[in-house]
Amino acid sequence: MYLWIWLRLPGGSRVRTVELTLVLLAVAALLWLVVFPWASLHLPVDQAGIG
Amino acid sequence: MRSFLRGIGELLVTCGVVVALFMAYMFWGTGLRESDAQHRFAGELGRQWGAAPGLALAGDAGPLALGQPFAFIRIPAFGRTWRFAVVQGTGTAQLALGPGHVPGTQRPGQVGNFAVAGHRVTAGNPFWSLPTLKPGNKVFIDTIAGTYEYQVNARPVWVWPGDTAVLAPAPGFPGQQPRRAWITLITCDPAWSGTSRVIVTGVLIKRIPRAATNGS
Repeated sequence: MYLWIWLRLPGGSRVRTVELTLVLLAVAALLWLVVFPWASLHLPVDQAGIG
Repeated sequence: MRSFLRGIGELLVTCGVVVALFMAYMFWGTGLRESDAQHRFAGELGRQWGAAPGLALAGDAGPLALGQPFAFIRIPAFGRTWRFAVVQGTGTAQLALGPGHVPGTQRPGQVGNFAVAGHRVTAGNPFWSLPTLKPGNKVFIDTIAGTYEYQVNARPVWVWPGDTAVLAPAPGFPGQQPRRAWITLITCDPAWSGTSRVIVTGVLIKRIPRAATNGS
C-alpha cells in the first residue's frame, strides 16, 4: 500500500519523503478535524442521558 | 502473494494507528472541543446577563432552544474553579459541549425537579467525581436571575438508564405532587459505558437574587 503510493509520487527520494509526510499529515488532520468529531457523536460512548 | 500479504499487514497497522488516534481524540480532542464551547458560552452569558440586570428570580422562565446555554453549575466539592455552562438538551451533540438540562424537567429554582446530565468521561469529564458527592455538599446554579443554592440530600444512587422515575417532579415518585425544588444530577457508570446511571439529588435551600450577588 505505502509502496504503491511511494512509487506514484514524483521527484527524488528526498522530495518523496516530504510529500509522503504531507499526505499523512493531511489524512491525520482530516481524521482529527472531521471524522473523529462526527464519530464521537455517533458512538455509544459514555451515555449520560436517561429515558 | 508476498506483496498482497504486505498490503494486508500495512492496512492492519494503519487501522491500529487510526484507532489509537481516535482514542487520543476521545481523551483530549473532545475536551478541547468542549472547552472552546464553554469559553464561548461564558462570554455569551456574561454579555446577556450584563445587558439585563436586576431581573427577578422569576426571569428564568423564557423558552430555551436546544443547545442554548442558560446557567452555570458550580460544585465547590469538585474544586474552587470547577464551573460549567449548562446547555438545554441531553443529546450527544449537547453533552459534547457541556452538562445538559433534561428537557421537560423544571427550570432552576422551580418547585419540581431540575435535572442535569453530564459526561463522566470525554468532553472535559464534567461529572467525573459525581459518585463522590455526599449529603451536605453544595451545588450552585447561576442564572440570569441569580444564584440557587442546592444541598445534596442523599448518597448517590445507581439506576438503570431507562429509569425515568428519577426525572419526575417529585424525584423517584412519578405522579406525586412535588413540594420542594429539587436538583437531580445524572452521569454514567461505569465510566465510558452506557450500563447504568449514577444519580445525585439535592434540595433548594437558598435563593440569592442577582442584585445581591453583584453580577458575579
